[in-house]
Amino acid sequence: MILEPVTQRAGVTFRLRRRFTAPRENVFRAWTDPEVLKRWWCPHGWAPAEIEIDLRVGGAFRIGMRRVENSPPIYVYGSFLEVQTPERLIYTWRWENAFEQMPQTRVTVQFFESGGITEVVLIHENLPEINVCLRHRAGWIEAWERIDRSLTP
Amino acid sequence: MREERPNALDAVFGALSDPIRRTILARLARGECSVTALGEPFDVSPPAISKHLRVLETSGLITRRKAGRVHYCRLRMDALHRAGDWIEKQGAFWEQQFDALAKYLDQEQP
Repeated sequence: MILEPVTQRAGVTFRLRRRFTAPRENVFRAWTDPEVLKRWWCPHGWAPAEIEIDLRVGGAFRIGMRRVENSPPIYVYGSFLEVQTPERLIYTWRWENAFEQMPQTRVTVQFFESGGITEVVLIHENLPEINVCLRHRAGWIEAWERIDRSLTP
Repeated sequence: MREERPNALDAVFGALSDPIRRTILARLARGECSVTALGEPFDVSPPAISKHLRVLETSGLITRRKAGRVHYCRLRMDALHRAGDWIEKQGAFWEQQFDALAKYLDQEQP
């Protein structure tokens, strides 16, 4: 897997690349079908809440999860800017009920298949630029090195 | 994802969204600076600079002190570090998601 915070004028971009042993249609469906999504999406310690996905350009999605039964869910939501089944998705990304008013960011996911292996390339961009403010400070450089270490296999 | 001081973080990200404010922070990263000197590189009015500084101050990114008639600003690293930690978590989140998807696909494939 490759994951690198890249500094750009528009903000910070994360890029990830990962190969899955599954046909592209299955991986795409796992990424976009609420019934499948709820079986794997939630991080450890979280359970799925409502998941709604209107998979078409301009359509909205909202993926909820909660820590325990009856706790208020938090959501990721946004709308699709591009939908090319099963090759490519572009959508906006925001959090609700947590990290609210965080700037809107953008996620691009591409699915490439070769010999039964599907490679997913994910680009999450427009994350707020912070490091530029601190590039002269040793403390921040250490912080970025720590981030690199925690994110690079 | 931990819900850590979301409101404080919102203000920080809001403050960071403006290029003039980011440039001001970059200058302050080199050390304390007077308000007058901070405004010099920009072709904007002193009241406009004051407004940017107020946004930065409200978000907790800078503090201000007065020495005689001169106001000085200073960067607060802790606020920036909290914002940086959040970005770090967003990256870690995607990595977790890929792990979870791989696990799901491994179990579900015939």
